[in-house]
Amino acid sequence: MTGVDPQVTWGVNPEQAIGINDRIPDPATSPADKREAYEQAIEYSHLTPGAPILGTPLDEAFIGSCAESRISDMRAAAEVVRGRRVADNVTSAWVVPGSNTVKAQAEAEGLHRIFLEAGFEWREASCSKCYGSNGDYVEPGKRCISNSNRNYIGRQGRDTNTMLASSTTVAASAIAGSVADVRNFL
Amino acid sequence: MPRQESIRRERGGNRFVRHTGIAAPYMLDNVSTDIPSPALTDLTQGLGRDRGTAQPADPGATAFANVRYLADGSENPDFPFNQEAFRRASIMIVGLNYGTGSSRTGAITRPLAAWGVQVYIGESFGPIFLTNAVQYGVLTVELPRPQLEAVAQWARDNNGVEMTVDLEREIIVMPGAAPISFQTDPRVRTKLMNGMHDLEEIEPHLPEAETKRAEHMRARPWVYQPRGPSD
Repeated sequence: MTGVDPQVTWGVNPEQAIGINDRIPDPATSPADKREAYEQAIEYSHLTPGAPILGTPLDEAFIGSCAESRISDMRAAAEVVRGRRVADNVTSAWVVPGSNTVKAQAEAEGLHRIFLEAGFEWREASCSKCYGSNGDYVEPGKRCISNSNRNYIGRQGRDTNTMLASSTTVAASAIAGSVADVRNFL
Repeated sequence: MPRQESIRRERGGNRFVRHTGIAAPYMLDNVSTDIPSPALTDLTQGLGRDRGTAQPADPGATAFANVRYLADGSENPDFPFNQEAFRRASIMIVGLNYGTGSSRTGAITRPLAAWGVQVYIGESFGPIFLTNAVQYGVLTVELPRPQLEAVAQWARDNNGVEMTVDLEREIIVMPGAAPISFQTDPRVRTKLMNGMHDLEEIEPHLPEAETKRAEHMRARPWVYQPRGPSD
């Protein structure tokens, strides 16, 4: 697709998404029927209305979920992080293949070594941090950029903020330590 | 499987004709299934990574856990089921797009286990939530917003007074107020009123399905051929 910037969610449901070069919406100038929802989302997300979303600092990065961890995602994300390192301020960066089949294929292609050398953890296929299952959750008070499909309040952990983006945007952002435009990494 | 769920799966266990109970308003919009059925609660999150679990032994204990309790474990006074007026509620009055998001059945079964919630009256519901409700004999009623607000206000003004939600007559009866009519999908109504399992619903249609399948096999035999190694 041309003409569409990489998209990132800023709020508490998948509808609340903007382009990578856009600014956090201002409830005061938003459509009246969205205003209350935006106010609640801004308050929970600890973001500043009008600020650029690009450069939002991140604590965690998660590439996983059945929805977005296909072998194609593994390959694309690996290309972004090859030869680079996860930023120091990102305290947790995980890659969780979407299934055992994907995991086996990724390992056969050596993708896991690329992730490990870049400072990611290479994990077993499971739901994991997509919805805070099996003991895998985002730490309270932290912001995680995630390639999963839902960013509802508390989904990844109590008092956590989730920003949804594609596997490659998550990969680039983990390297940058903040929300990044993957096109600058290719 | 917790006993509550196994009872529901017996033949007729999902039967719903009418229910009388106290209604609790919970009128937030876009409440995702993560709220009534959290994967994580302070119970599981505090135990550490190697002991987190998504299936607690007592499903009722974690219903709405993250909005029902404050961070220190005490009851959140703003949550309706913690208020004297609604502690014994078994009907919830909800907003727009209730039960959106994940397919988790717990969104139906946990409040059912905790408080016996058998009816949800709302503006609209997540599609998977709707289907799960039917499987457990839980009724979802959609009302236009003005009527929904009227029902919620009646519940607030009439603490402890029970209303009746009647699927057979498709009306909500509130003592001292005019009854409100609602519409349900006829297929869902039949299924609930008779407590029909999915297979019971399908059984009468099997001969017709077999006829159609035979026609299809004649018209498109390649669909039914096994795939070879070159596929």
